[in-house]
Amino acid sequence: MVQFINTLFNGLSLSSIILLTSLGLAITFGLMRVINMAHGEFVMIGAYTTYVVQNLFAGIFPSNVQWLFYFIALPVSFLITFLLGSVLEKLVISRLYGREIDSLLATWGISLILQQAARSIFGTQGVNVTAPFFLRGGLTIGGCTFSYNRIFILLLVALCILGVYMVMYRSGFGKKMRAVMQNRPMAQCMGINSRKVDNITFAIGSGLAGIAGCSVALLGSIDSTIGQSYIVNSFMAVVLGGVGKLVGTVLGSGIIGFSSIFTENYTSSTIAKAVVLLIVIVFLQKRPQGLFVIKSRSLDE
Amino acid sequence: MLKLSNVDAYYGESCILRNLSLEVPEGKIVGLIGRNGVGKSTTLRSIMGLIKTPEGKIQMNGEDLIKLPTYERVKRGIGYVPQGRDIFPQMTVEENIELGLQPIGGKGKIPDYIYDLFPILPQFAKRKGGSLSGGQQQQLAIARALVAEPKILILDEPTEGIQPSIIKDIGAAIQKINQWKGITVLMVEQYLDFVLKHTDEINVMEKGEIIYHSETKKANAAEVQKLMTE
Repeated sequence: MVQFINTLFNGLSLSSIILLTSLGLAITFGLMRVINMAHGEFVMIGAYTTYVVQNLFAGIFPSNVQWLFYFIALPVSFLITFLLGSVLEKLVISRLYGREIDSLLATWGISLILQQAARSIFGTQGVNVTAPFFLRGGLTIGGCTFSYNRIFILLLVALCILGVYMVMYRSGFGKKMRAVMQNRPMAQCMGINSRKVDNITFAIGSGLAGIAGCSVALLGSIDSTIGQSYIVNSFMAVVLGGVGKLVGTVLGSGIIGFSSIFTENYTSSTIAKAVVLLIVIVFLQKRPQGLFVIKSRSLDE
Repeated sequence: MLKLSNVDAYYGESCILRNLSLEVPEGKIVGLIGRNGVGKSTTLRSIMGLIKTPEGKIQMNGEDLIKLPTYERVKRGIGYVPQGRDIFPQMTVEENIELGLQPIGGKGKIPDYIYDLFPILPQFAKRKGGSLSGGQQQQLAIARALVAEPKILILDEPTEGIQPSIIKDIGAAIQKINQWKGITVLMVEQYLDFVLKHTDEINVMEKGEIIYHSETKKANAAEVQKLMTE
């Protein structure tokens, strides 16, 4: 029973990490249909930003307030990746809308450039972020241990989902964003500057990747390939959930996270990866549109 | 109000509008009719800036719109109802209507007369636009275009695929819009009787040009019909 609960918690934890890295992708790929191969590198930038903020804090503030660095690193990671995303959209992506293969290749190139830049700045050896004191250790209940940093990531994911929901469904900008994603020419005919909306939407997606980077920095060493570890699972979660549906991304992340951990528990991590891939392939063969489909009554009845 | 002078428009290499000139006087309801594929919808799309018009002028109250992006043209006071309605299917009826407020900053109240014109819409306020019937979607698309009180309303085949009782309502609504608010209307149609009943001026298009123009009350219906079928 204890082992089952531990596995369940690990599944939930992995799902939340996949979801955190997928949320931004659900916006850039799911809503904008931009295959951003550099999304993982925005996760990396978020992680390195956390490391830099930690070091700046260590150099400036006394040790008893060092733990505060993480609360500064979160918004700073978001802000930096938001701005970089905005610049990338303006300079590259905006010229490639409707050309999926071209945008895939271009963003793959950018991903390589960003990885090399990280190696040049931080070196090839991994660097570490020290978790704030309250995120060290874990909560033990009846023989099961739930690590604080993973509980924290779960809460952070919940906050991010709430934030994305509020922006998309409860704000004026969200209304414009949904209009542009559903019908770009008609959104322009409503007086919406769709280029501006595209830019901000892409930047928000990138900013979410930055927050994801900030959280995965708590889980292990940071190096230039950290984003690559998450990008495949994230793409699978978005496609499995149904492109364009955020709730689908949540469920897709859950399916991948739980099936990964449960298979790994009874076999090995290599077999788990193969099984997850097989589940996704079989599912998409049966239901290519994913778990959730956008329904609309025919307009010309 | 709206004046097109010597406008050319292309889809790829194909020239759809040739030296097109058209005038829509303030306060009038103007009909633009013709067979399929003569360039009626392209004319409206050119006015909206949805396709490129390398030659000619499109002026509204003296200002040339040709270099303005679509969203800026809309802010100058053009409301557009495209062929096929193009409502936002995943948004509620209320959200669709509220989007019409974007040209005036996206904020404000939906004017009461919108619901007076289309009393069916408040009943469906929380339903997804995509779940409405074709006629209801058409009413929603017109309401959305009117909510910011444009100077001119441009309609592309508002009766297409709509049942007769709703066509009557839409015709009445177009005339009320014009009379109550003084909104100028330019309407593309293939349904001649509808145009003869609800417009002040009529234009017939053929191969990207206007080949007939008249005040509707003076128009010879048989001649217009002949031009449309030749």
